[in-house]
Amino acid sequence: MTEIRICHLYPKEMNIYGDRGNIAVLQKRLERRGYSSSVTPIGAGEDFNPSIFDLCYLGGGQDRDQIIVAHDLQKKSAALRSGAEDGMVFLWVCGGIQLAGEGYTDSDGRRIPGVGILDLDTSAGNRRLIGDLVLNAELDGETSTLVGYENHAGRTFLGPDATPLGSVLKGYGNNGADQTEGAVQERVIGTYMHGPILPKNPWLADKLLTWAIEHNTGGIPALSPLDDSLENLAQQVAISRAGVKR
Amino acid sequence: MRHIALFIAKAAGTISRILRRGGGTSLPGMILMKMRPTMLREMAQDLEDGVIVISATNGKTTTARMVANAIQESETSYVANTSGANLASGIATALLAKKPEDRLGIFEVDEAALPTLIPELQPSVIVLMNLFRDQLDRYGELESTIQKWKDMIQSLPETTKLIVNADDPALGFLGSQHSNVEFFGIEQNQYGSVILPHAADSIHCQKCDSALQFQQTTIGHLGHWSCQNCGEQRPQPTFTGTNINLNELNGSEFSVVSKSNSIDLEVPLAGLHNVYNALAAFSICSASGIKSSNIQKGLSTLSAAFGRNEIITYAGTEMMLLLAKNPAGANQNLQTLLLTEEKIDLVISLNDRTADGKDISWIWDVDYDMIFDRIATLTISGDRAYDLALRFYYSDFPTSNMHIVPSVEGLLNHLKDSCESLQRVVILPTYTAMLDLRSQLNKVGATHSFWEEQ
Repeated sequence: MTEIRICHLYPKEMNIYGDRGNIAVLQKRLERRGYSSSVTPIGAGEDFNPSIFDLCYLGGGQDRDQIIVAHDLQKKSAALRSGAEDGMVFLWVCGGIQLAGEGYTDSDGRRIPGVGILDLDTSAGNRRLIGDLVLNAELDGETSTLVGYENHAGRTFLGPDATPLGSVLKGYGNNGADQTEGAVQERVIGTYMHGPILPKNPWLADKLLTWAIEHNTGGIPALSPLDDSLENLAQQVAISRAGVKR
Repeated sequence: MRHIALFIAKAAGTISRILRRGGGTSLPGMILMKMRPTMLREMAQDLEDGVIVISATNGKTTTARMVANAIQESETSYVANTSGANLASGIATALLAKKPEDRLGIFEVDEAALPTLIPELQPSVIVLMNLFRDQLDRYGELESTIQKWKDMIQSLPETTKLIVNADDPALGFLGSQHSNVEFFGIEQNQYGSVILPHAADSIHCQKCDSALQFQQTTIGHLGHWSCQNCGEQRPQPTFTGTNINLNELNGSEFSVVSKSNSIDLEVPLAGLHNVYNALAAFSICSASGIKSSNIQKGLSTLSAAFGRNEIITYAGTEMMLLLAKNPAGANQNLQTLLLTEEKIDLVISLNDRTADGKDISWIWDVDYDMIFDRIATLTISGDRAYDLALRFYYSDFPTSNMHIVPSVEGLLNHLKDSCESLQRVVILPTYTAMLDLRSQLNKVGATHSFWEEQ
């Protein structure tokens, strides 16, 4: 049985928005298709070995914890970049998208370097961007509506090598100015939709799993469809609560 | 001008109640403070025995109610915001209803509003019970609340007494920065754990940022903590809760040891969190010179604050309401349900309105899995019922045993239709879900309106 190897980075520090929900969804959707999976937590001070993982998740944390993590990531950034070059799948949300970029300039002008697996840069804005976030996303030439919640002070702008995950229908997205949300570069995805985004966005979950299985086996899998009626209802409710008519 | 402002604001409350636009628990105060912004301070200064302020993420309504009950036993007349409206407008509304003989104010205060309300209320006693992650879209990060409380404590006059939960690492540290402070905390006991729960927040030393060590945890990150790096540690409490016996869902008994004496207390509200609430209430009363016998009586005759351990009978079935609005509170409610061997007909209602927090991510930080094997039936309701259903579905809870009824009318109909088979109904609602449920129950005559409380 193929085992998909998931790395959960900094689960103790970066977990304030129920991030473990994303891990649960990845594992269950694999299990329901006959794949096994493993989850390896890697925290501050621990080594990251890029050759033993198919998918790497990083969630959102408080500012204080994000700074601790940003410093620790410096020691892992070469290994993370090599993983990204090798086709490892990344889902880095909330603080994660900022850490994946070139760096973050805080409100006092201090610079915190990022890992550099997404061509983007972030600086602090003067107010937090908080609320529902709905977007039209595109991956592998397919489109889908995604819905989540954002809460961030950072304003992120993409460079030429990254493409937005989607265009904003409701909310602020990367910076509240250019209608872009998130970033995709090879198999690295960053997004401001924080916490448990995968439960009600099964299209995104399956896209990540398809890539992760391909990374593991070398072949593109045909994932069997699951009964997503609850997922779809939750998504519809969230979209309508966000005030988007469809 | 003062009299005109008071008159108009009071009239607004009466009209609001007549029009059934709500309890009028905030509107009169809001109008009053628009007309005369200094009025809150003026009214608070009129209280000869001073003001007691209680703040926390969880437990402030129940604790304020406990204190009020004990003070009532000592026949001191007080004014309080018992309906739970805990912003400036709610407190001003409560003060508007002050009777001439009221000498003392007992106010629960929203944790984010606390720093700005302290200069207005100039309390003689401030009680800080706990800080957990809660409604991050509204309150922001826990660290920023801790920072604001820190600044607030630094500017407190010496004469203000702080009463602080020593078991909360952040608060224990903050309390130690003030000289006029007394701590409370509970002894290690059979209900504690050595494992930090998933949603533990204050796990780093406030002084040096190192990871804290916990000899025992009780609720979330509350417990016996120390920092091996800088030596900072849980302060020695003046009031220690010990010999704790949690009596299933009926309540608990425990003793408070302070200086040389030990007082036995009985609390008719279930769970370790209510031991903390009662211990805080005891500390407040004791520090305010209330006789122990009056505190004992006040606590043992307590009825539940609305929505908190409240029992309502509907369609011939008793239902227990346990407000659950953040991970620490919800986890503690689930721990409490584990105190009984009985199977539970669990109802959870999740709303995402302003007072609940619009971000419902937090349900993934709740360890619902701990009670799966105690659930006889699961009913899921509220604005975001399907999100909650996914929370259970992805933890392998069988969907065949999950009833999803988003509307409150649907929920009550479902409970009525299945009342024959229901045994022990426990409802965990978010704040507005609880208001909706109570208002619907009120319509069918199962309960009374919340502004008729007291």
